Parts: sequence; C-alpha cells; structure tokens
Amino acid sequence: MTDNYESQLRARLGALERAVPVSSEEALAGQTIRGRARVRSALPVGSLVAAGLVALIVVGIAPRLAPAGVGASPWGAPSESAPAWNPGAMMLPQLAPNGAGYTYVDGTGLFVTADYGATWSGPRQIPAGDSPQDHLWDMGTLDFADGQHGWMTGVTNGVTGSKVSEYRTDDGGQTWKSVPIAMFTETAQPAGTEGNWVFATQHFVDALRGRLQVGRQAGAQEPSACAEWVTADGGVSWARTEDVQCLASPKWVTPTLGYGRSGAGASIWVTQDGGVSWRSGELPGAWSTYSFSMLAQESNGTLTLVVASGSSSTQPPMAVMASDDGGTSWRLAYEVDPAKQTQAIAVPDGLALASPARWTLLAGNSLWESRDAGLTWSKVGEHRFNDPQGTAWWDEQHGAMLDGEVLVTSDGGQTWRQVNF
Amino acid sequence: MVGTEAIRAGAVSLDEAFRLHQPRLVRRLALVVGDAEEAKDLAQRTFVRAAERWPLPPEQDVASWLSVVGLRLALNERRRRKVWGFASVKETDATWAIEVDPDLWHALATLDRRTRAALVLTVLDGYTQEEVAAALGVARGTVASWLSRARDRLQPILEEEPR
Repeated sequence: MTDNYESQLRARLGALERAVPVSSEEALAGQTIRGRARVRSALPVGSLVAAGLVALIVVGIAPRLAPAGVGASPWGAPSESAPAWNPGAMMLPQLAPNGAGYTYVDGTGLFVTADYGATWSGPRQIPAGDSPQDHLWDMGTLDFADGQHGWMTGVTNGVTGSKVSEYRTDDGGQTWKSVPIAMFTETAQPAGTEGNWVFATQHFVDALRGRLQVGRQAGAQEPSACAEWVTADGGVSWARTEDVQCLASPKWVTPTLGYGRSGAGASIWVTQDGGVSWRSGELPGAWSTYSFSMLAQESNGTLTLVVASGSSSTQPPMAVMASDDGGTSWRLAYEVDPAKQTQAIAVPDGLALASPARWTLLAGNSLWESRDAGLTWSKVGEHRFNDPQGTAWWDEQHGAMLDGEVLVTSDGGQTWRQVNF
Repeated sequence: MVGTEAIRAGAVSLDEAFRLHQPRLVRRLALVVGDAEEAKDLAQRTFVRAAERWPLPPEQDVASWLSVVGLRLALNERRRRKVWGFASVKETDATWAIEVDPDLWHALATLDRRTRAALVLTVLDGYTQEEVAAALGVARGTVASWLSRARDRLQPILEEEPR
C-alpha cells in the first residue's frame, strides 16, 4: 500500500466518517447504558419514520399475507438512497446434484458450474428488482437444483412499502423472472424492536417441485410460524399451504433429507421427503443446548447427528447422537475425539459429508477424513490451508472448499485447484 | 491509533466512556455497515457488552476495544442473519454519504463488510494486518487479500477528485 494511496484514502474515508449523522445532541440526549434497553427509543418517532426506520408489518403471516401472484402494487420510484450493499463476500460453493453448484463473488456476481467445479460460467447478476421502479434491497436464500434451474428470495423496497418476491432462472442465472409472494406495509417501529427482518427461504427437490417459507421477526423473538407456499411447475405458480414451523438454518443433506432447529426451542426437525412432512425430537440432557453440525443417514436408516458446543472450553465440545426412528427420539452414540475439534467447532462448515460413509473435517488448517462415523480420523494429503471456512462435497471425489479463494478437488481432497473467477 | 490519544480504561467511568466514544464508534460502524441507524444499534450493543465487562483491564485502550467489539458484532450479526435466510426489509438512508463522496461510497458498496472493516481498522485506526487478522479471527494472508482487492476497487476512484 503506497503512502499516497493510503493518505488519500484516509482523508476521504475520514471525510465520509465525519458526515455520518451523529449530532452531539443526539449522542448526549439522555443516552445512557440501560442494560439491554435501546438508545433508539430516545429518538422521536417522527424522525424514525423520516429516516426510513419503520417497522414493516407483513400483510399477513396468518390472515394478512397476500396470496402469491397478486397484482402489481403501486410501487413508485425508490427514495434516493445508496445502492444495496453487496449481499456477501466470496462464499463456499453451494452444491446441487450431478455436479451442479454456484458461488457468489462479491462485487462481481454469480458463477454457476455443471461439471463438479471444473468450469464456471458467469458472472451472472442476481435480479435487480421486479421493475425499473423497484430495486432489490436484500436477498434471502439462493438455491439451484442443477446448473440451469435456480431460485432466490429477495426483498424489494418501494415508496409504499416492501415485498418479498421469488425469483427464478432456467438458464443458469442469465435471466430471472419473479413472482410476488408477501406484501408489506409500513407502520411506526415499536420501541425496543430488534430491527426489521423477514425470514424467507426456499428449497427445491428437483427442477419442478419446491417449497417456500416466509416469516417476520416480531421484536426480539425469532419467528415461530412461517407461511408456506408450494410449487410443482418450477416456481411459475405458487399455492399457499398451512402455516409451518419456522426452522433456523434448515440444511439439506440430499434433496429430500433435511433438518433444522426451531428458533424458540431446542427441538430438532427432520424431513425425509423434501419438506412435505417433518418429525421433531428433543436431544437428551445438555446436548439440547449444542448446535447441529451435520446430519448423516447410515445404510440401515439410522440417523446420526453431530452436535457441537461451539466452545473449546466446554467438554466435550462435540458428540454424535443417533436416532433409529426417523428423528423422534435421540440417544448419545459417542463423544467425538476432542483433540480434533478445536478448529472444527469454530468453522460452521468445518464438518462435511462426502458420502454417508465418508466424513471430512477441517482441523488445524488441515483436512481429515473418517470412515467410521467420526470415531477415528486420518489426514487427507499434506496441506496447510490459510483460513479454511468450510468444505462441501458432490461425492467422495469431487468437492469444494473456501480458503480465502474457492478451491475444488476431483481426487477426494488429495489435491486442490484454485478457481479463478 | 491514528490521530487519537488513547484513553485507558482505568481512567474513565463507563458513562464517561460512552460520552467520549459513542459518536466516533457510530461513525466507524456506519462506514462498515452502510447505515447510520444500524451503526447506532450496534454501538449500543457494543456498550452493553462493555457494561457487562466493566471495568475493562486498566491498561486497555477503550476506543480500540470498542472498535473491535463493534466490528465483530457487525460481522457476526450479518452472518447469523444470512444463515437463517433473513433478508432486511429496512432501506438505508445514505444521503449523508452520497452528498459527500458518491464515488467512494459506491466503490465501498462493492466491498463486503469484512473488507470494509479491515480498511477501517488499518487506514483509520492504524492497525497492522497482523492485528486486524487477530481481531477478526482470520489469517494475515486473508486480510492482505481483502485489502488488495479493496485497493483494486478504490485506487481508480482516488485518482480522481471527489465530485
């Protein structure tokens, strides 16, 4: 970094910083540390509305949710604002069956592969909005069933409110079409709320059949009931179903086997039919407070769930639970060797499933594998990764890793190749 | 620290620390998260963390502690929300930035939060790449990669006079 570059950047960043609207009156007017109370409540409601800080009440999770396919609302020109922030940095590729997958490179766009990461097409741009008058403010989840068919939940803002839309592409992200799903209207923000967030996620079992859930955060509480829609034509049309349990971070082992945790409780929810039906169960004892790292299914149908405390100071930091009845009752199978867990518990995607018979683990900046469901581990290759953030596998041979850059392997992790986007 | 006299934790009360550091912390966080109101929320949560730990160790530089904790909160909140599949339905009002330096603001908007955090910590706060890596829990090479990418984006902007 040259002095000139840094000095100019410091001067202009400093000018931007000084322009942030933090008046001395605002900073001092009655603002004290009040436990978990929030300073925002000290501001007049009028100023909150003027600043665009409004609670957006969904037009009906329950009776107020508008049906999919409602007519266009009077979305006016967006208010003057900065463009939406980039939705994220370079991400661990999200994998789909038959060698398909995608990743998002910050500031560049979406890249899609259909050959196990050997080649990537892109950059594709995620949708900018439903019309020239809208603009996409934020995206929820993105999901591809193969190299061509993908879907994305997104929020667009207009002067009269916000809406959640479902976007779909059938050409690998080159073009997108949308269906409005949930409508929002504005109202004053209650003091003490945690902000305005909508939970929007979808999952497709193949290029035609998918499910979409939308929930709204109420105050500091994570949503419990989510409105659900289903499609059987690849997202062209959606039909509303009954409200369902909102699940935190639902993960999919296969297109049909998925699991998640309810936000309010410690229950684990498991589906083996792509989300049509779910079974819930409780982990015994203190294991219920652990987070879920990975679910696998053995050849005899037994489900194994790896749980982690998230802290190396908790002993044991990681264990394997088992269920023989599809996820209703769970028992401790064994505690995983803690010597291997120090890094894995700090890496959300550090544990991965290459196949039901092969688990992999990032620990000590190296890749390890186990073929006995985590009882014993051996190092894969002689690597010293920089800052591995996770691995994902298409099959036992083909996988991807995020280590600052996206890496792919076609020999089970013995060698890795950096992808140049 | 650049241009700031370090205030040690042992020398001030929590209320005084809030009065002295809250505006600056909000400004720092606003550069990273892109929204002044979200920055105020994060600053408040940072001071709640401080209250839970106060008094900080006597030799602790209060501004540095607040800056690092606030930035970690900003990065973790985003990550947590994305894991949940949450999308924001709040629109940023960034007219304050657009009026001052629209080119730089738009260029910053193409960088992710972690990179903006690394920029703020190195360029404005004077931390080394090693210190930023330790603060954000990543390898030094990762920070170097972020800053290199940022430079690619920002240098063309800096070669022009602000509009």
